[in-house]
Amino acid sequence: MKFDMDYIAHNNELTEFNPYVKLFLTIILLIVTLALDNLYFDVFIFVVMSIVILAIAKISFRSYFKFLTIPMAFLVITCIFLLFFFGKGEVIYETGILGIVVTNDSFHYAVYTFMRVLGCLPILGFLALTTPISKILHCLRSLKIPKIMIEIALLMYNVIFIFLNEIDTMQKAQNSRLGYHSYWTSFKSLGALVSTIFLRSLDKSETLQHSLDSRGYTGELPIYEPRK
Amino acid sequence: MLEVKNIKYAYNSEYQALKGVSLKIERGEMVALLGKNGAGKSTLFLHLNGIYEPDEGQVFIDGEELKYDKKSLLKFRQKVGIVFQNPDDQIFAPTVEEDVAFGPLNLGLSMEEVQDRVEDALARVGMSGFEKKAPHHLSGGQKKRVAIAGILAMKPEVMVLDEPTAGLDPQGVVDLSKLLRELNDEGITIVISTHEVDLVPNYAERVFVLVDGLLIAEGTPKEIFAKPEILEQANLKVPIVTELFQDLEKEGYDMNGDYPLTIDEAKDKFLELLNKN
Repeated sequence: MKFDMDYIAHNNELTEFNPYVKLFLTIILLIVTLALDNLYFDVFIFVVMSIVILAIAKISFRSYFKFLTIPMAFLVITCIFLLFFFGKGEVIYETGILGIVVTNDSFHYAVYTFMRVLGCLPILGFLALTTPISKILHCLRSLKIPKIMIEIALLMYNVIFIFLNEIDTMQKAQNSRLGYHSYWTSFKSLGALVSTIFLRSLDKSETLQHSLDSRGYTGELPIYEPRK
Repeated sequence: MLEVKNIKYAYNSEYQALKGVSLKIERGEMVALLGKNGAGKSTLFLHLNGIYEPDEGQVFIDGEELKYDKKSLLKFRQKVGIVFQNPDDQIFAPTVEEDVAFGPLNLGLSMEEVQDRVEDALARVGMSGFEKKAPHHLSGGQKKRVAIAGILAMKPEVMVLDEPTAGLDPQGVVDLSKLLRELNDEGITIVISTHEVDLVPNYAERVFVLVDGLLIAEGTPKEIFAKPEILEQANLKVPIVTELFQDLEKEGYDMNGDYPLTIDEAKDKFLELLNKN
């Protein structure tokens, strides 16, 4: 099955757990991990939070692994750049290509950045994988985060699913007509996809505006408090 | 109840979507608007609660002319609810209950009243128990029901549905027509645009036919489906049962110009023919 973070957030052992506690825990742990900048602590928090996610929230290992892989790709690329192209100081390794070297400084940066991010990922995952977005937004609202930001987040969140669906469908349609058969056609197909998506988004946003207006939208999304 | 007088609307100078449409719908009626794709059905619907302002012509609700200032619009949009063709265009909130509550909250009702309405509306469409679900985890038919609940919770007098059966499976279509008939029995005036001619005689008391921005015919389903020239202009067909009886007539069975439109009517007619022979 496709990785569906939202579905997981709605269906795990910690879904009903107090979202305020989760939100505060996440923020505090993030700050502590970033501030301490300690390699052992990073590893420690990675292990602890992974256990919480896998054993307590009972999220499947495969889903959790997929959650980690996407940011991990960015992380690895970033750290490779840090390693080879940044920092001054004592040279500890010479690649021999175009004078690119690894210095003491850059090595330190790369390792610490990698570990810090590695520690933070499961902390974020703890919040993102166990809490439905509606609950997070509800928390933020009661914490007096500006309304406009919450409204934008809410509308974006809703639209993302429609957007991804649309891309998925179009890509399948292009694939069935061999749109990604060679490099050249892939470029062309991707270009067509992007421009069509843009036009369709405009169209959809207009329809959404009409449907919101039809129900008396005043430019501000009202807040519903369900019965306890 | 709901009256449209000579409405004209152009999207741009080359494309005149509505070329002077007039129609009148009485309280408690259930009417169908037939027309092919691009005939202007959706454009007409968006005029019924003031989303579009016509270039010419007026809209009247309860004899009162529709004005386009904020206050009157809110009043009219409470009275005339539109259910959009694609529920994804309408449902935006992260949970079902929040979406249904959106309309009533905009009307400025108390939270308690809104909670009651949300509960009632979801129960009415058979979606109780889905309050906390995320809309994108629902099936197409369920989303449609939530979209209808969102309008019902505003307690409209008229409910306008743009192609409500599009994208539903056969059982979903049957359930939906049943729901709409029940709502109509409870006193809500219902306007439906469609090109599913088989279903029209089952619920519609009156039918309007829209072709290229002009209303070319109006009458009971019997009257409309007896005029092949109108159906042809509108790219429509007669219901499949009617087609059967028209074929039978060519085989020499005399129908006296009375062709059944629904299964029930067809059954009676068949028995009548069988008994005669």
